Amino acid sequence: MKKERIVFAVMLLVFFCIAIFYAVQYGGAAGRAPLIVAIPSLLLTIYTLIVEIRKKDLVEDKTKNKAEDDQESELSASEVKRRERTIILWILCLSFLIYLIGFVLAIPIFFLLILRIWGKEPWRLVITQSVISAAVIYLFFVSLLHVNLYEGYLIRTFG
Amino acid sequence: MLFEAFIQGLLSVFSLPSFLYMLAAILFGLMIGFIPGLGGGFALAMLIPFTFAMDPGPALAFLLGGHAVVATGGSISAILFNSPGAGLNAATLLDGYPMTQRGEAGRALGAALTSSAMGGLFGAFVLALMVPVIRPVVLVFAPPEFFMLAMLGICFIALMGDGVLYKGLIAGGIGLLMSYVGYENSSGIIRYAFGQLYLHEGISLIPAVIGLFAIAEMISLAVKGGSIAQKGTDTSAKKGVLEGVKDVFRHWGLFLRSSALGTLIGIIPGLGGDAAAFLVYGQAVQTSKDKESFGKGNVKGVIAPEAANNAKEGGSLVPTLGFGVPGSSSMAIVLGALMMIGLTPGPEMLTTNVDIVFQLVWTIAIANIIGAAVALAFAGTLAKLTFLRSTILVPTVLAFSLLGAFATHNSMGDIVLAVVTGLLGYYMKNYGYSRAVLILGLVLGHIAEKNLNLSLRLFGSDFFMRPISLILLILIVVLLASPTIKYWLKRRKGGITS
Repeated sequence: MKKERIVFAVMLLVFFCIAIFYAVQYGGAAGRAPLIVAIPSLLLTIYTLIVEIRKKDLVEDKTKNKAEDDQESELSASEVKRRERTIILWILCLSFLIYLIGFVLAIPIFFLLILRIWGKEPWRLVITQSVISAAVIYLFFVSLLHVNLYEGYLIRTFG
Repeated sequence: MLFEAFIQGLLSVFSLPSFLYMLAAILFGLMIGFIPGLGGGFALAMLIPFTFAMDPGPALAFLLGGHAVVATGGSISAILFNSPGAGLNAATLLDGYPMTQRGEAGRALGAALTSSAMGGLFGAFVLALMVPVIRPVVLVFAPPEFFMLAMLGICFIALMGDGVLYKGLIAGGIGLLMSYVGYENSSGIIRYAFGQLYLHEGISLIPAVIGLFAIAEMISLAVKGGSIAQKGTDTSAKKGVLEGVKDVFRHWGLFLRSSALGTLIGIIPGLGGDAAAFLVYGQAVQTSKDKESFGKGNVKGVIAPEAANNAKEGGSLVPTLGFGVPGSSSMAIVLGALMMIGLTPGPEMLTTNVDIVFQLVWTIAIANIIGAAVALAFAGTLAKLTFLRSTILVPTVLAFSLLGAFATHNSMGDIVLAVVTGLLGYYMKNYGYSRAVLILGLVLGHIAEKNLNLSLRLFGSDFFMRPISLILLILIVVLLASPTIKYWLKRRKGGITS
C-alpha cells in the first residue's frame, strides 16, 4: 500500500510539473491562473510525498470508509490487486467494444460476456439481461429520444 | 391587476390541455433526469418540437413542467448509484451515496425529493415576489462580484475536504487545472490540449463526475463484492422515505437558507446550477456543528443542494423573463422557445404579459409537487435496487454510465474522459484525496478565472473595493480565519491543553 501511495504522489508531482512547464510557455493572462494554482499544489505534493515516504506501512488513511476497510481487509493484497486488474480490464474491454461496434451491439455483447465469465450468472439471467439492454438502448435512446449513438468503427468503415 | 394575473396564471395551469401536457412532460422530465448525462437542456430540446402545434399556454406548461423536475429525477440516480443525472446533482451524491451504502437510501430519497419539491415552491414564490423589483437586484452583480462568489466557493475547498487538509488542497489544485483545459477566453490560447481537438472545448463536467464517482465506485464494489447497501442494514425503505421527509422539516432553517441562496444564484446570470449546488453544500458544511460528518452520509448534505437546485429554477427565470438574459444554458433554450411561440421576454413581458409570467410561476410550483409525489411513490422500490448483488449491478451501471457520458456531447472523447477519471477517482478514494474537492475546483475554476480577467480589465486592480465585493471579501477572510479563531478560543477556555 505504501509503495502505491508513493507512486501516486510521484504521478501527481509529474502532473503539476507539466502544468507549470506549459503555463510558463503560455505566459500572460493565459498562464497566470494555472501558475497560481500549480505552484502551491506542487509544493503540497512534495510535502505529501515526504509524508508518504516517512509513513509506516499499513497505516490506513482515516478518511477511508471503515466498513469498507473491514471487508477489504478480509481480502489479501494480491487478491485485491487481481480483482482491480480484472474489473479495469472489463471497463477497457467495454470501451473498446463500443469503439469497434457501437453502443447498440457492444452493450448486449458486454453483458453476455461479463455476466457469464466474471459474474458466473446462470445463462437464463445472462440472456434476459442482454436482450433487455439491447431493447432499452434501441427503443428508448434510438427510437424515442433520437440520440445519435455512435455506430462503431467497423460499421462506419465497412457499413 | 397583479392579483388578477396571479389567479389567471393558476387557472391557466389547471385548464385541461395544459394540465395534461404538463403531466406527460413531468414523467418525461423525471425519466431524463434519472439517466446520467442527459440533463435539463436535453429534456427541453426533446420537448420543443412537440410544442410547434400548441397554443402558448399549453406549450409553456409542457416545456417548464418537464424542465422543472429534471433535477428531481437526477437526485435519484445520484443517491442510489453515485451517478448524477445532471451536473447540478453532483453535490447531492457526496452525502446521498454514503447514506445508500449504510442502507438509508429510502431516507436519502425522501429528504432529497421533499427538499426538491419545497425548494421549487420557494423559487416560484420568490419569482412571483420579484416580478415588480427585478431590475435593481440583477444589475448589482458584475464580474468582481462573480469573482468573489467563486473565490468564496474555492475557499470551501480548503475547509470542506473529507480527508487531510493538504490532500484536499492538492485535489482542488487538480480540479482547478482541469478547468483550465481548452480555450482561454481573453487571449484565445488553447491550453493543455496536447493536439487533441476534443480538449479544445475544455473538460466536461458530466463525464468527469460519472468517472470520478460512478465508475470509481463500481470498481470499488467489484473489488469488495456484495451490494451497494451493506449487509445487515435496514431494508424498510418506505419507513426510511418518511424519515427523510421529516428530516427536511427538522432542518427547516437549513432548507430555507439553501433555497434562498439557490434562488439568489439562479437570479444572477453566469454562475450556473452546478456552482449553486456546491456553494450551498459548502454553506451547509460551514453552518453545521457536525462538520466532520459531511461526506459520510449526513442528511443535511442532501437537503441543502437539492433545495438549491430546484429553487434556482424560479430564480433563473427572473433575468430570463425580465431582461431576456438567460441565467443558464437551459434558460437560453426556454428563451428561444418563448420567442418561437410569439412571446418577447424583457421589461414588457412583466407589464403586458404578466399573466403568462404567473402561469410560469405556477407551472414550476405545481410541477415540483407532482414530480416529487411521483418519485416518492417509487422511492421505496428504487431503493431496493441497492441490495442487488455486484455481479449484476456493476456491469449495468458501467454500461449505462458510459452511455450517459457519451450522451453529454455525442463524443467518444467523453467515454475516454469518464474511464480516465474513473481510474483517477478510484485511486484518489483509496489514497485519501477528496474527489468532491476536485469537482468543486473543476466547476469554479473557469468562473473565477474569467471574472478575474474581466474585473481587472473593467475596474482595475482595486475591483474588490466595490461594496458587495468587499462584503464577500470580508466573508472569505472570516471563513478562512474561522478554524484558527475557533482553535484559539478553545485554547483560551482551556479546551485544548497542548
